Amino acid sequence: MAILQGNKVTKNFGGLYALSNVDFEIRPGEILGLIGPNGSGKTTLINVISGFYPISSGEILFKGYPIHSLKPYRVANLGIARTFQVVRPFVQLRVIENVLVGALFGKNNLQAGVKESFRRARQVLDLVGLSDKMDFPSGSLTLADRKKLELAKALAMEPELLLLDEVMAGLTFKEIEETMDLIRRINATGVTILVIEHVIHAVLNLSHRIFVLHHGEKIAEGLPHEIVRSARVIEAYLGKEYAKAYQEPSDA
Amino acid sequence: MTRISVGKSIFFLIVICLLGVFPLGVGVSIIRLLTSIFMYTVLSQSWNIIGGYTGYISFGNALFFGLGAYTTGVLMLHLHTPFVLSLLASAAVAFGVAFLIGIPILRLKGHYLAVATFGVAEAMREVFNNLRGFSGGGEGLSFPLPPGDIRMVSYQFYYLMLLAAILTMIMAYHVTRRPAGYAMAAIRDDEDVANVMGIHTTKYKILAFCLSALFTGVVGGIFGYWVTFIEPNNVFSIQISVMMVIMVLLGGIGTLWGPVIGAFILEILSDLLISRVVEYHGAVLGFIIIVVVLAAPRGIMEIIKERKKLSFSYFLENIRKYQA
Repeated sequence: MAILQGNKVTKNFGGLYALSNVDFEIRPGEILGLIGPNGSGKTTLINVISGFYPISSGEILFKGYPIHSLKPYRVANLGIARTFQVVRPFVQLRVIENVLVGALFGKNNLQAGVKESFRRARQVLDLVGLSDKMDFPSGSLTLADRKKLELAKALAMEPELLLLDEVMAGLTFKEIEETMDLIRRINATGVTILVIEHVIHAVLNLSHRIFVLHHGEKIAEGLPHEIVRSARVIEAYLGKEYAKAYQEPSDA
Repeated sequence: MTRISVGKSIFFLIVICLLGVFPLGVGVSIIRLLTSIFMYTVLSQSWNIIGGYTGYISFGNALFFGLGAYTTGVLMLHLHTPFVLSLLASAAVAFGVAFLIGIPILRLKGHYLAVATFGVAEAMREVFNNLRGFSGGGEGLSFPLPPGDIRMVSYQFYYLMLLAAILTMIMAYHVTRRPAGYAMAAIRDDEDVANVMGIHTTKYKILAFCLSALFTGVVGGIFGYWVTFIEPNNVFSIQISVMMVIMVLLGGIGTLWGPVIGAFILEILSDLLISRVVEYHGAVLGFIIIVVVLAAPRGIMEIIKERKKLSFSYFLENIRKYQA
């Protein structure tokens, strides 16, 4: 059974359909890549899963339980964590305190005390490689470190499902490699992960399966090597002419 | 985790002992000044919980002060309730009202919340002005006179306000070191992200508002018995609401000691100005506030903590940081 399942999920802003009748499923333990051109509805999908936006119609089930009408904090308490594409640290808090908030609330939601949560926060900072900066004001971090912090905050929530919204955008090649390695390690601990990424080589390498959105509709779903050959995907990214040119030799 | 060191504990013990014996050697007017400093410490620290730590700027916390004063007054005068019990009732009323109005009003943010809280306090002032009968309406309400001679009475209120101030400080200290405090800080910095991280934001905002009302209501009751006469226009006064905000801004918003520093400086200043240039007292105070907001918008605590020099470059740094 899927850990997260969406049935005919639709989200419109007035006449604009950011998502229309999207069916999707995320299987337990996998890394699912979500790709699509700009404005295709990727971030909107994360926003509706995390309860940030209410959906217009359809349903979203987390382990069989409907979550599409829950407030964001309830979704988080159930075990779904997300990051933001434009990083949003708590600027007046230190790095470790940012992560602590995730450990205190998140999935465990007040089950652990402050002391225990601080320990958890330190572990997570170790994992993402920010422990030497844990007492820095979070506003003073570089972009790469802010991206790591964003990931650490989500991880500290001890999620079962982690939604990553472009955690590699703006990073150098080496930093991308490190982040990919980190995502794999997180996945190896049993966390199911949905990654939105524009860095195509990263998402193809990382994902077990890939899911493609275009204009708010699902246009393809499958294994990475199938997706790169899909005519509809090539068309969505590069235009009709390219798709034809690419298709002809293999059709012949 | 920060733990209070032995040295610090001894220091606080000595300070509290000094404050304890201090009034024995000074005149009644100085005792009165200190009593009102302690009162404003409670008011500004209470405001700091909702305005500083949680980032919800209220301009109507005098509402709780007034309700506290009237609750104690009405209970003592008409039901002959003992003073301490009346204070507990004041705390309960302030807390309860904060809860009830917090539910609708804390959906607002920024300017809207400021206007709404201001509106509620003003509306309550008018209600009490027009409410004939047990609360005395616009003519005010006289408390029973506290027993004892002037000096004894001033000691009593000095120690009461000191105790209220210490309790408020302890509350603020504990709140900020508990999960609730981190929830409040997260809400202040980014409420949407706080929500997504699993924080029931509405719950913690209302909690912060209720805690900020609690001791505000208590000192309202103490204040009423101390000055023996209250009227709606002076306990539900906008001036009290604004003083809380200004003291916190002056001392350092969202810090533990900022409100204390703010209360000390502004009360002493205000006392000096009233005794020397009573006509210009308001104007001079206003001028000082403008200078402070321009020169040190994060308050005196930042200058102390970060060892900032009050230089032109610090001034420019602030202008750049806080320009619209």
